[in-house]
Amino acid sequence: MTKMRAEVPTPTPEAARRRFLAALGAALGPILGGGLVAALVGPLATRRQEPPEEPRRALSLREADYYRPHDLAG
Amino acid sequence: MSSVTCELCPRGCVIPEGAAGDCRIRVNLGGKLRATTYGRPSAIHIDPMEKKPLYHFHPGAQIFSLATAGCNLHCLNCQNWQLSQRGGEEMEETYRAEPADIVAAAIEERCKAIAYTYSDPIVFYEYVYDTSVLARERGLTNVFVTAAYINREPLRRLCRVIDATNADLKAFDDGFYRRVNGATLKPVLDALVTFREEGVWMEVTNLVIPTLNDDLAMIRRMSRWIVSELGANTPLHFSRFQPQYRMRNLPPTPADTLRRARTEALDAGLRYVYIGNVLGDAGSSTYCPRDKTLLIGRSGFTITDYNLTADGRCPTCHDKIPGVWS
Repeated sequence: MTKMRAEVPTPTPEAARRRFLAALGAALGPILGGGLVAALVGPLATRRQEPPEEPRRALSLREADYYRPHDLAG
Repeated sequence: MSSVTCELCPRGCVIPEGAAGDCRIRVNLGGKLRATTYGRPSAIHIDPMEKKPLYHFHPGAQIFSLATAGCNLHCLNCQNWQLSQRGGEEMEETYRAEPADIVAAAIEERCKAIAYTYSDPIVFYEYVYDTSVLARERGLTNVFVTAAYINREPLRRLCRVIDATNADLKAFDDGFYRRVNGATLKPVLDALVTFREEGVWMEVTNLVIPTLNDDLAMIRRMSRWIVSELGANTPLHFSRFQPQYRMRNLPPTPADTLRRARTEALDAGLRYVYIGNVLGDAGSSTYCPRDKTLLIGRSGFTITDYNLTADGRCPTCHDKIPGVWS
């Protein structure tokens, strides 16, 4: 078993930041009102450009057996 | 746009570029079908052989068992739905293990067999095949635990490297297969006959679900078909249903229902009929069909008595008991 490497996805810092802001918004929203919270938290949540989502892990690209390629019109 | 038709299982999925087949893990990328979980198992355990269940194949042995995500059936009562009804990229944990890694790990763990199991290994066919070839070369045996919804040609090729199978026969009713499993009956029957023709040691499991497939007349028809097409020496396991997944509205199968099913199958001519998932039931043990000598006693997955001779005979009448005992 030691020869195998388990791959467990870990949240990126960006994902953690978004989760924190979402939780903050959910907590403050009922107190301050949704519009105010959106005005305060929204710019924070959208300031940075999202990095491209990386695939959780590389899937195998092994070609399968037993299939038939064909072109469909259109 | 180049689509492909997957010819592995009777579904025959026509898969557009970028999409997956019904099993979720065979994906058309650039006009080529890819097996996306090859070398990416998501479940690895060491089990007793009796858990597969195989009762006539190396009893008591430990078997290295693995699965990847995905399945070509969608059983409402699936007990491994977190694994089977997801694609490889959706799993919380995945190992990287090429076939050689699996074989080396099995040997390191002192297992003499490898099981492809949990989800349906049909969908990770290439991984099963390549691992099985290497396992054979290292003196291990291969066990294929399946619902047998596979086309004949790929199955015949696979049978060359598989030593034993436990194949589900979920009901002797096409309507049941369509409603509960999202499949059909005939390809399954054809696959079971193929296993027999190819000489793979086979045991059959029928999970008995209250009100859905516990009709004794159907069980009698199924048992007679097994006798005529697979042989009276084919072990048949009646397993107890537990409420799971999308079928939590039904109760567990009463033990008496399983006992009646067992009696029906024995009356139909089957010689080795077992009850599964009922701890300590006498129907879980193996008896000599001729003189009723207890040959192998079982409680759960544990062997409590072992009275077979070294060459697999009844110690009383010396009849040869079918199986792989060495």
